[in-house]
Amino acid sequence: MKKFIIYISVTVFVYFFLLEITTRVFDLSGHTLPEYNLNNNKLLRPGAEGIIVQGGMREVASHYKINQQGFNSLKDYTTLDENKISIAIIGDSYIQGLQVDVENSIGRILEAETQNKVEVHEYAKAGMNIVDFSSIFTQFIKNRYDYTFILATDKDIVLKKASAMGKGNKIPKNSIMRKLYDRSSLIRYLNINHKLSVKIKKTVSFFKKTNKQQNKITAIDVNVQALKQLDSTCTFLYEKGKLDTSLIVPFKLPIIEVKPIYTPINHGFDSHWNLNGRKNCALAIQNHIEKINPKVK
Amino acid sequence: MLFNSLDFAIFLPIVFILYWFVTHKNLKLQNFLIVAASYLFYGWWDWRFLSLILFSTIVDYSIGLKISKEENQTKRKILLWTSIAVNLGFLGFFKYYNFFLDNFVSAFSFFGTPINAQGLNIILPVGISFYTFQTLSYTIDVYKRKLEPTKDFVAFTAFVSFFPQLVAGPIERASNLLPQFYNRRIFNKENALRGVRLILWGLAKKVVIADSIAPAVDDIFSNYERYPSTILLLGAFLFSFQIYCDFSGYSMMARGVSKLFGFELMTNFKYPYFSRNIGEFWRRWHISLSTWFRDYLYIPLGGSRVSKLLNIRNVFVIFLVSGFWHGANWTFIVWGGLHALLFIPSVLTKNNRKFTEDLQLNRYLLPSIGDVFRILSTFVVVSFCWVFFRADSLNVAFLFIKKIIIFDSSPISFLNPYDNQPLGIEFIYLVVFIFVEYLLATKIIKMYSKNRYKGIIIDAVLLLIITISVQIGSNLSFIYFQF
Repeated sequence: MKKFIIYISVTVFVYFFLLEITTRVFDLSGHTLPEYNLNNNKLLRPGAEGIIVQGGMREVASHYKINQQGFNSLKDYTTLDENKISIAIIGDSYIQGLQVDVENSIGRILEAETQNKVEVHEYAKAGMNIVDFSSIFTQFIKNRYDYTFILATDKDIVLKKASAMGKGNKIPKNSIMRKLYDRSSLIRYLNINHKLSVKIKKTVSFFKKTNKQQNKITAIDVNVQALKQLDSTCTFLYEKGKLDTSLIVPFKLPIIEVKPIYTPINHGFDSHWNLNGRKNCALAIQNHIEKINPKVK
Repeated sequence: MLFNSLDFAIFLPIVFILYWFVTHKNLKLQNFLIVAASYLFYGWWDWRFLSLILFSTIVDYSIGLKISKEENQTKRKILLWTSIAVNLGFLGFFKYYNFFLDNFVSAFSFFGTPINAQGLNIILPVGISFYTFQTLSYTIDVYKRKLEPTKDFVAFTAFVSFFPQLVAGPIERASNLLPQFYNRRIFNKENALRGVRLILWGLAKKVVIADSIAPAVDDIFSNYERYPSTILLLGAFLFSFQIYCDFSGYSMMARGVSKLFGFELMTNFKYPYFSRNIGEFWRRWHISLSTWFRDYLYIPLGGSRVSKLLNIRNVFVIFLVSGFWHGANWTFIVWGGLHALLFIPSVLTKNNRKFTEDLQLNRYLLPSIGDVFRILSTFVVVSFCWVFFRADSLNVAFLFIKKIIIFDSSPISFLNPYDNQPLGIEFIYLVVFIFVEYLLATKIIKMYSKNRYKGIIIDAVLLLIITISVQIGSNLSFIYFQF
């Protein structure tokens, strides 16, 4: 038995060693996004640039570039072209779009599709919710853009605590675990592609008693305060089955569906639409703008 | 619980440690641990269906004891048929109820008497076809006095629910597996290492080959109307590899896990795609099921020791039943029927026992040109039959094959229709896989290396390839779980 355990231990050690080398040599783990405190908001470090890699065969290898406002975009949001219709898009990881090159973000697709009659700025970060959305709206967007589009799901509109915007969302000092994560290519690889932390949490939670049951979201759960901060320039975007539109109706904000005209290709390790999904989103916005503003046609 | 899940990766070492370090001095306790672990393994999927396994276990255990004590032949027969009725009753209800209902409704409608009948929303308990056949083999063997019934209920429960092979086989015979629960298991390092290697090879077959080609196969079979003949042909061949690697991968893992606990299970696959005719294919494919049907259906019907006409009937019966065993759909029955049609000529010409030996290689370590031709033609024929197995309906299968036959001379495409990317890495995996299988089948190399350094490197590299290839979130389940 002793020899067997030694054999297995050595094999596992060699495996980890080979995995660390392989992921480094073939750059299978990519870069970690550098978070940064910007005016009390937990965003991304301005000027950071790199490649996000996902999949054992680098199925996703996308270029990201962080602008001066801390969002993933080729543009800085300091000026707006007065001759163009200005559009802001707010959302979470789907709008942030780290699964495609920053050159192919929803904003760039929309600008190309409208022959640059519109100028689009995307305000998004993974994990953001309605509190962040309303905070972004009041901080950056209100009275500045002609139209604002917000991509949201049921889960987003019930949360009561911001994940990135406002005080209390400071980046914690680097812990040993965080340093280990940043330096170890194999841990990053396993976490990105095999959802290691999610699986461990799931397995651990199986043994924990949980009284909370995931009930259907009702009007009582909705974060009314955050939604009331939005104004009539805002339009909600949703995917079928992901947002109960009746929850938004009382706020008298337009709601448009992102229809699956192009089939979004979702890899097993990532279900963030990729390029086709972003085209669908851009098309939904374009069609809506064309209807309400003839200048775009 | 799936073999290729994190849950199992945590479950297995815990059970292994408890088995060899805590309960190893007490055989009963060790068997009880196997039962507890097996029920947890199965209950992880759906604990409600544990009652079915338990009920089946109690019925067969009790009937086995009663049959052995009973001298009256009529009463013995009644007991046997009670066991068969209970086991096949469960199987029939959960697996075939809606199929029979739909077909009765269609038949009545066809003859002008439409009837209204609603199907039931029935969940098929995972592995029911496998453990039902396993317990049936016990009762039949006891009835035929080939096997002494066990008085050890814990050992019998462990035999029925043994977690490595509970949900997708191999379907073990009581005469092989049950006695292993009576004897104290002694840890054998070499055997355990072989078990680890089998688990890794099996996992590699599943995640590196089967799962990587699954999206392309799914897409081709779902959108066959859109694709040219070459793509459909590619889809049929790819499915042949997918189902083989998926199922044989599971069987290897089952054998490997069993070895870790000191048990020996039967080999379920012996490189079937190197078969030189259909007879040889069926001696190498899903061996535990085909030998089950041979021993408990074909031979009792008279086997080949009857007139030619009855022999043909017997061949048809086992292939049709075998097809129907896979699922409640006419596609499986036609698949079985096609294999029967392919098999019958060799029965009539008494060539069905031809090629019982391994491939003979020439000095260049290659088989003869004749054998290469026979292997390729058998593979093509088997692949065509798989179209019926994979298609959702008979109509789809016929249209799929029709589109291949009416060849549209479109250029050969090696694009993965799923994402329009070249099928490069999948082809590299396949070529390497076929090469390794050939080396193993012809015994040019052996799966186990006695050199421990070489062994460590091979195992670590295999694990590395599995890690890099696995597509988390993709369809992780095994195809044969649905049967």
